[in-house]
Amino acid sequence: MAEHEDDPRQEASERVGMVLGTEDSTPLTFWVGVSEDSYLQLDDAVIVDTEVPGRGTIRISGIVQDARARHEGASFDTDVFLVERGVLPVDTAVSAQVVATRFEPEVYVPPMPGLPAFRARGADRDQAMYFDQMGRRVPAGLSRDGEPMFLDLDFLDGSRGAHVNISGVSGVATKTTYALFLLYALFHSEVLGSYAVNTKAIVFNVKGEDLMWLDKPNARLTEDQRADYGRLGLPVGPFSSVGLWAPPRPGSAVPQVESRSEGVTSYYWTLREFVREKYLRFLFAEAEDERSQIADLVARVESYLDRECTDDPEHDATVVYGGYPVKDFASLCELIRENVEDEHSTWRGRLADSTVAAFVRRLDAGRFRMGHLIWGREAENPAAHRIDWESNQVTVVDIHNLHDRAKRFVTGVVIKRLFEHKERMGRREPLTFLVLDELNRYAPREGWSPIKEVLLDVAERGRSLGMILIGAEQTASEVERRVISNAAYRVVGRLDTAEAQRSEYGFLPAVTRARASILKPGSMILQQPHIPIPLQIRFPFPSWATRAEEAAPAATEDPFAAFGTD
Amino acid sequence: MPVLYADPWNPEFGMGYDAALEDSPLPRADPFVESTDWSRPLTASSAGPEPVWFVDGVRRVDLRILADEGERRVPGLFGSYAVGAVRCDGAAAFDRHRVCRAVIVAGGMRQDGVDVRCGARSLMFEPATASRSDPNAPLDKLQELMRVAEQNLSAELVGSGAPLVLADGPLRLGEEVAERGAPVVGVVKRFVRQYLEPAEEALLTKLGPGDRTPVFALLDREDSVRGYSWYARLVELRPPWHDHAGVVRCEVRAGVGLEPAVGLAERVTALLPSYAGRPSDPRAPQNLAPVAALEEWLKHRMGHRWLVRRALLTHLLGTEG
Repeated sequence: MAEHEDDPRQEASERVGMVLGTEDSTPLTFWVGVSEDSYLQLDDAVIVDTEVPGRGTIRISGIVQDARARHEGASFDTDVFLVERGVLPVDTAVSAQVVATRFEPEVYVPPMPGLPAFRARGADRDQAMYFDQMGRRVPAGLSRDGEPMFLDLDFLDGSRGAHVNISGVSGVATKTTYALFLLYALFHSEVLGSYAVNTKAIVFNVKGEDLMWLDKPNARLTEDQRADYGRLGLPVGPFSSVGLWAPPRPGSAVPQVESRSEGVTSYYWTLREFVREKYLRFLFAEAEDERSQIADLVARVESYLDRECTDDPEHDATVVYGGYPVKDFASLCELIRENVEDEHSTWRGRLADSTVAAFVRRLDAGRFRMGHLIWGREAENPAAHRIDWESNQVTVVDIHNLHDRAKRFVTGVVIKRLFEHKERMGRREPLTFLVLDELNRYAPREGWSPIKEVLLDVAERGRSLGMILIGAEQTASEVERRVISNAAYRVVGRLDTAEAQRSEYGFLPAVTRARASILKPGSMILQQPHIPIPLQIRFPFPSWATRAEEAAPAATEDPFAAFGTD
Repeated sequence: MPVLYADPWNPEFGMGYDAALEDSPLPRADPFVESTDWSRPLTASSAGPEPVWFVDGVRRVDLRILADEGERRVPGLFGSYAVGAVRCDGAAAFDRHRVCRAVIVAGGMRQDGVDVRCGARSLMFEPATASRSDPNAPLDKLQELMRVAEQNLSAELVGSGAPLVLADGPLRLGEEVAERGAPVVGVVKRFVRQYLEPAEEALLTKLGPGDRTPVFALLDREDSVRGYSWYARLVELRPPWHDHAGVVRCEVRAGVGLEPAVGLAERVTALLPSYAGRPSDPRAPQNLAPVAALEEWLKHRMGHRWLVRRALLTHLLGTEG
């Protein structure tokens, strides 16, 4: 077996040990005794060729799931001290548990004890990881030994599956950074082909202003970090086409961003859009009991508004009701309140006073929290402030400064518009990616809300419409099951130990769960449809800036050099 | 050639399991070759740790047999034995070892070697004959084969530069060997017989760990010196033990010479306490830790008892009649 001089594998894959005979060898898991001059670490790809009578050679590929070392011949814990003092001779056995990923051809037999095991490299590794079967490979990060890892675009773009779900503790799990790395890999590799230009992504910036610098190169990237991109076949740089949107400061059209002043556009909607597009429901976007009658009332009000308001001939942004123009959002809310509180109005129908009172309470709260996002006559150039995701490849919508209600409104409205747009187009390509963190807020497991409805639509129908959700949350257990179960790719960053025990992470074997609680920032565990066990990967440090200091041009040694010396 | 028949009994039962304890051909001892003062123990002055090799062997009866040749019927056995060494020079590591198998018949009957198929390999049982024909004769022969193999291994180690070899068990001082001056020390765990008079033996009670008695000479029937010996204590004597517990007797060949023998006594006595057997060992503390580990390791290398036994039975079935 080892004598194959012309075996191409010998050039790349190296012999590391033998299949053990003291542990059961089964088709799905087996143990490899690691030779003294070699090693196997977690996630290494391993191949074993086994002869099956009448069927020829079967190649079993697998991945190291666990590894152990122990003293043989020592039976008591204290023996280790005697060994160290040179009194007790022992043998040290190192072995690794391999989970089979692939049988070529598919004959499910256990590898025979004593067969040589090889660490797979090159083409063998691609085969073990099914990379050879991926027609369109998206760089997904690096394995722990620095080899590139890939995703199959077929399972991302909807041809065979879609959506990515990322879980992990805030702060250390680097969920958003990984989502952006995936976008970067999609947009800056050749994988999308001719569709690359028209493929879009909308990213909601929910925390800090990290994403407001995507268009600037990261000046603090080290040489090693640059090399990571090289290994993945990706260029080093910022996102090439970025649109940045932020809410306006109250009372002006200046975007509310602390860290940068140029290149950001403020967004708002007009009263007329609010009425015509029926955005009222997104004012009521907190999760409700599904039996709540408020939703009925909201729907009634929306349709009455649409029917009874006419476009204001004097201004693009406003409407006319009962012969008088509705000039701002406060007036619109007032109008709605009067109509629903009027017992004889058809607007409220037969709904109880308590329902109406609840409706009005929420309406008032909404008006207070997000009035500055709906503009009337004060809007000078509404078209320039409507979020436009068509003109840039990546559109960042900043919502981190907004109140919870306003966040829900913005995400709800944007996703709904996007979804309707894709529905009208009626075809999958070009794709639209939607990156949304804090899914538990928008699609909670319990209750119903208009955003949850839209997100469920995206999760269930987005695959055929080419709308791909890259969702993230701290705890998958708090997110609607159907949103998660529709994701073809599951990614896990650092997990809370208790959270990791929940059934949502059933795809993680026990060893991997334990590993999930010690993952460092920049490392993720990736579960893909092709590979039966999740693998730990790390992804390169962002080559785009994530804060002002990184966006600054590289500082020279002497800060005064620019002034000259004389 | 005799026809061999298997004895169905497990070899651990029946014909006596222990080999006869070696009857020393050295009936007398001269206690006063190093010193006449047996009133207090000698404390070994340690020269610090030094590399040392431990040598031991194990044996096992795989199957008892009866050999029939014409009218004669004698007992015999199929047995395995292994000898090996542990090198302790800061780190402890298994060193050379050898696994051997023998088919032994008693009463001087001649027998060929037997090649027994076992799994994918075959085991070669080399022929050997015991001159006596009592039921224990084959076992004693097996023991002797092992002892010879141990002795050869010790000689081999000394030949390749080992500065000190501690062999488990007595050294067969009655026989002539080639390298009589080799630094090979036999470490004897058991008190088989009393070499000292009660007056001198009283000193054993006073030994502390790392202490020894003066070196005494072992004499044969012709009163010529065949070896030098001393007692050394490995560990502190604890209350419920008898006063010989934790004491080993060491011996070297006479060819070493008295003065070098005293030197060896010093070195070995100082070394031994650090290699004392683990309390978990059923023969603690005299069964030295490296030796205990070596025994387990060697036993393992003899192969699985029942696999070998089954292979032998299958083989006998095939050759019968």
